[in-house]
Amino acid sequence: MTMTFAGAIGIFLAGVLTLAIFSFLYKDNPVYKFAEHLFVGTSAGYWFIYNVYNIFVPNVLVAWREAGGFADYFNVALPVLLGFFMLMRLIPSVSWISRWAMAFSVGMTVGFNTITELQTNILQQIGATLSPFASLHFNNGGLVASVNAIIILLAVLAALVYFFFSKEHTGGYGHIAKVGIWVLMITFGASFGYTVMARISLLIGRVQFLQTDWWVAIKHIIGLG
Amino acid sequence: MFWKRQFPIMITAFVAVVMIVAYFIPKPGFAGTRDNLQQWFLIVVTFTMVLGLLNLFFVSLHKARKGRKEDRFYNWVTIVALLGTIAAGFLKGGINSPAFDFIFNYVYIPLSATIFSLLAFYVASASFRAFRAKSVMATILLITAFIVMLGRVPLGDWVTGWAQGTSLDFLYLPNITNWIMEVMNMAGQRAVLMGAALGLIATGIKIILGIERSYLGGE
Repeated sequence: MTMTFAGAIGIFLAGVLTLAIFSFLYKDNPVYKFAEHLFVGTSAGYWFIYNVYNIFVPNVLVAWREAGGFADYFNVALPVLLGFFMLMRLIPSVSWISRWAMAFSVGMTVGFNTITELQTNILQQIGATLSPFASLHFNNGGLVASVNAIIILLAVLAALVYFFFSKEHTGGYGHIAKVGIWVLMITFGASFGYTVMARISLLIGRVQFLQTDWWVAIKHIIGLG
Repeated sequence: MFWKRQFPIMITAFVAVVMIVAYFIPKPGFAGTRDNLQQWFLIVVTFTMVLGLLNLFFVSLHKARKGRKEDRFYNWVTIVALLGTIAAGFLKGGINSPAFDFIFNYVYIPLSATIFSLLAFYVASASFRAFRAKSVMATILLITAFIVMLGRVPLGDWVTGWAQGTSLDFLYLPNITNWIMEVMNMAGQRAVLMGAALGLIATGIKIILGIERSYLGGE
């Protein structure tokens, strides 16, 4: 792959910024602070532009231009009005108007999530836990899958018992709750291990970038590559 | 007082109930209402982002002019980066303009990836402190995390590779890791998801009924 001079400068800059962030491992320092503030500014700017082109332009500007009747104009004008109400938060004397937009957003989130959560995280999870029992068999081919399905069901029930605080965790119920905590501890341990590996993989990616791309870019800039 | 307190609660309840009821009525008009409300929400969210952006700008500007002397320069960096990125986004070509592309590829992506990779060190240092097997629970967490980490790297394969394909296949670390992830971890995640979903729905009902109103600033 051929590298342009502008591309080489960009990769060089990316490498310098990478090292600037890593410099925090030594201690907080001006170079790190510079990179950190640069990240805050660019990420805020990037997501703003992303929203402008992906949400505002198609849903407001294009929709308004192509509107064919009252309903179409209304569907653009009302949310834009609510959006301006949201901005009223910056003016203390009328900041209470922003509550209307906030109320709409909260109502919308509640209405949307109630159905989504019920469907995805309750009904589908119950279905996925119970559906293997429709084809449970303990012959050679299905033994492991069947035992795993039973373990999953028992583990889910035990963990749910632990989450149920309306009954005191004593006696046999307490023992089941204790198994539930073990299941949760295994889950947290697995999630932790998985997260660590994901971060390590990112770290390896950055080090490889410095080792390969960055050196190639430096050589290209000084005329050796 | 009505417009400041009761009216927002009425808006919330009305929009939430419409979203829920419309889902259960299989008529095109109701599905359209849900779609429209979702589209409105996206537009309002964009304005909310503008609010956040203006807030960041004014707070940084205030700190750059009147904040601690040694921090002023960094706040100017934030402001210049913010305005520069936005200006690049509005150049000809928009989101695909070379300037915006340059900022995205050579400033935003490396900074964001490096900041997240930095967390590897903090997670490692936190685990040294947290992973003291003080109790049975902590020991279970420690052993599981250790197996999952080891099972995902070549070392796990190297240490227990002799067991692979033999009658002791279940001792092969990548297999143990897969079993933990696909059985025990999945069971725990399911219970957590169900518990969280029930909690979320309960909170939603409280919001619809106007019992929970902290989103209005605690009034």
